[in-house]
Amino acid sequence: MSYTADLLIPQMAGADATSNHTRLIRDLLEEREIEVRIVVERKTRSDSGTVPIEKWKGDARVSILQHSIGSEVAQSVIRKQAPIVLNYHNITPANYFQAWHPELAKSVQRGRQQLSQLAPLTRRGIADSEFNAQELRDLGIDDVVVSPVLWQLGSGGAQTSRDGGAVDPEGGTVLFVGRLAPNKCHHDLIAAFAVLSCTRPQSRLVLVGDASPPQYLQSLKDLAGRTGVRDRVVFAGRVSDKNLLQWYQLSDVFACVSEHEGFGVPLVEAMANGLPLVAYNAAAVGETVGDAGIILRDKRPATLALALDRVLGDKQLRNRLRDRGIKSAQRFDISATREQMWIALKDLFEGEA
Amino acid sequence: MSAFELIDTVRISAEIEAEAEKRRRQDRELVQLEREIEQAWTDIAPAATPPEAVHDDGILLGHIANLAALDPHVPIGSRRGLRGVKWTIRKLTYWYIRFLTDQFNVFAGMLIRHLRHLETRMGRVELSTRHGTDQPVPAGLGFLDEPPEPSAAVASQVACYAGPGPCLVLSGGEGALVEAIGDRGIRVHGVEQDPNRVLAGLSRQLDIRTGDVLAHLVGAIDGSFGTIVLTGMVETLPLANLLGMVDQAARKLKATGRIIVAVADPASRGRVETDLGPGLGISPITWRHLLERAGFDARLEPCPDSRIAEIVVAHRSEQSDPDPEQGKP
Repeated sequence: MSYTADLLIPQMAGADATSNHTRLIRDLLEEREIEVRIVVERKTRSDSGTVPIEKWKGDARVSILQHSIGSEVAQSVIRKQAPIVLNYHNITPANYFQAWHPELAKSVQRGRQQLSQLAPLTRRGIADSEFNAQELRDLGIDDVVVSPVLWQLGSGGAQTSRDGGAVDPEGGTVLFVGRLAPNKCHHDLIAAFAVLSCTRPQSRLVLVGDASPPQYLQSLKDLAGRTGVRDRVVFAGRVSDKNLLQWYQLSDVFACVSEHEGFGVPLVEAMANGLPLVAYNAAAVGETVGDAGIILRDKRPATLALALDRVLGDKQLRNRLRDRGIKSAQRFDISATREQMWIALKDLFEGEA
Repeated sequence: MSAFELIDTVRISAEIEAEAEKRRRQDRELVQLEREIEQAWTDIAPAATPPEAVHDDGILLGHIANLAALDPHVPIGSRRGLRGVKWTIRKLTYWYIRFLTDQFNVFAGMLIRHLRHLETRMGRVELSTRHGTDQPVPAGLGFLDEPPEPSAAVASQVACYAGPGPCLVLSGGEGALVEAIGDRGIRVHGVEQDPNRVLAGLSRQLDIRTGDVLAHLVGAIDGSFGTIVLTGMVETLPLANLLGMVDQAARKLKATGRIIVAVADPASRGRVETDLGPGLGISPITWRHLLERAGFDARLEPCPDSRIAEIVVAHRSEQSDPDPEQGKP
């Protein structure tokens, strides 16, 4: 093997998006006979074969740092003043967590401080989206490439057999997938669902994702109770891939009112599974969805409820959004994104030895 | 031109936003509903103040002073000759009242602070023990398997006992009972806490709702159900919750309604279940006793199932059953 690459990440968790992304970069590089070491801050049971950050020498030809939160791994890079490729997945602004989880707020704040310290060390920035890329450019990083998160779409994929049939005029299932966090604004979704329930009393809202912070989950349950829709909101928690696919297939519309998304993997999964999208235009959401969904500039409950009702009630619109979503999701198919990632990295390995 | 090309999402989005705005102008109730929801969230969500401000006594007390429950400013009125005297009395009174209100507000502020601390600590305890108000299941249950889905024999027998009118199944599980009852043309829904079971039920197009069974029962309208079926996780509730459940179920039934209980006898549990879930669930005989005490005519019906050997069927005792054979499979 001619070259080595270090992939730096705080920890390799079981199934989170950044860990999967790192594994897929490792596979991509190893296929090209590049020796890869994964360097972590904390070892978990699922990541045997990783190197702890204390033993990291920074002597690989290319070191790629996955950055999305304050970490000791990033701190080590800063201490060593080692040149890196910064793979930026965005950092949620701390103000979203301040009232809910001050410790988490501090951690993301630290991540942002580290980001500005990492900027002068960055040989190249790789951003999941143009939104993320702009943040890197604003920090003075000139060489920025957009390359989406690598992940394998759910097995339903574009071959989904969703029939696009009529939805019960009083019902319909609205789905959102994503960590239950204040920046994703599940509370706005529940608010809109409460309004939607006035016209569709048999409808259902499904929220898939674990809670971070847990207090937010309790508040969402309280809000659902106060607005009279508690028994129609399913807090599914973290689910297996199989169950996630089932939720996608069972639902009639995917709604996202997140105020901060660096990319939005579930948006693409929803499109790939043939779910029509209604989303609030914030951060990278509009960019990821493109013209494959109903993108709103206003997410007040009545507006969002009206959009959901329109999609649920209009079979033709639903089918067209489904077709467009499936086509749009192909942009993020693993074969395409792997190629993009390799183009982003290739010259760093092929330059001077 | 294909359907794919015909769609203009930007136009549709603009139309929806304009329509929503129009409805707000025309429908005051909609605006009011939006306000109420927003207020509900404001009440629930923690204030978005930096944590250090919350612990700073000066800022905290200042905040409380701004929200003083007692207003120390007395109304002003005057006649030329008495103006000076009144001004002096007013100032003295003001200082005194101000002193009293400050004392009161500081005291109230301290109480609020300590209550908030207590609430936070309680929340942590509830989270760590999974024993919050929303999850009345004892911590020991975490070590136990949830009761399995009722067998086809149980489902079909319970469905035969179900009377007319809407039916509620607590807990709904994956929907075996809901399906069997629904197949008899009875409007039925189940409530289930485990989202994976809800998913399984919804996959079969069954009306399985999510949430805590007892909370759902409490929230239902009085006299709204023809039949209430108690099964599934009811086996794992402590006696106090079961007593509450009987009371609530009786309220939510119509005058001609009935309660059906399909649970396994705790005495038939294995050693592990007995050790890890002491005091959880009661036997069908005890259910019959409780329901009779609650004013029902209750009977035990044998069931050909390895787990649930008897099913309790209870009618209101004040109305005589027009046909004693009705409801028998």
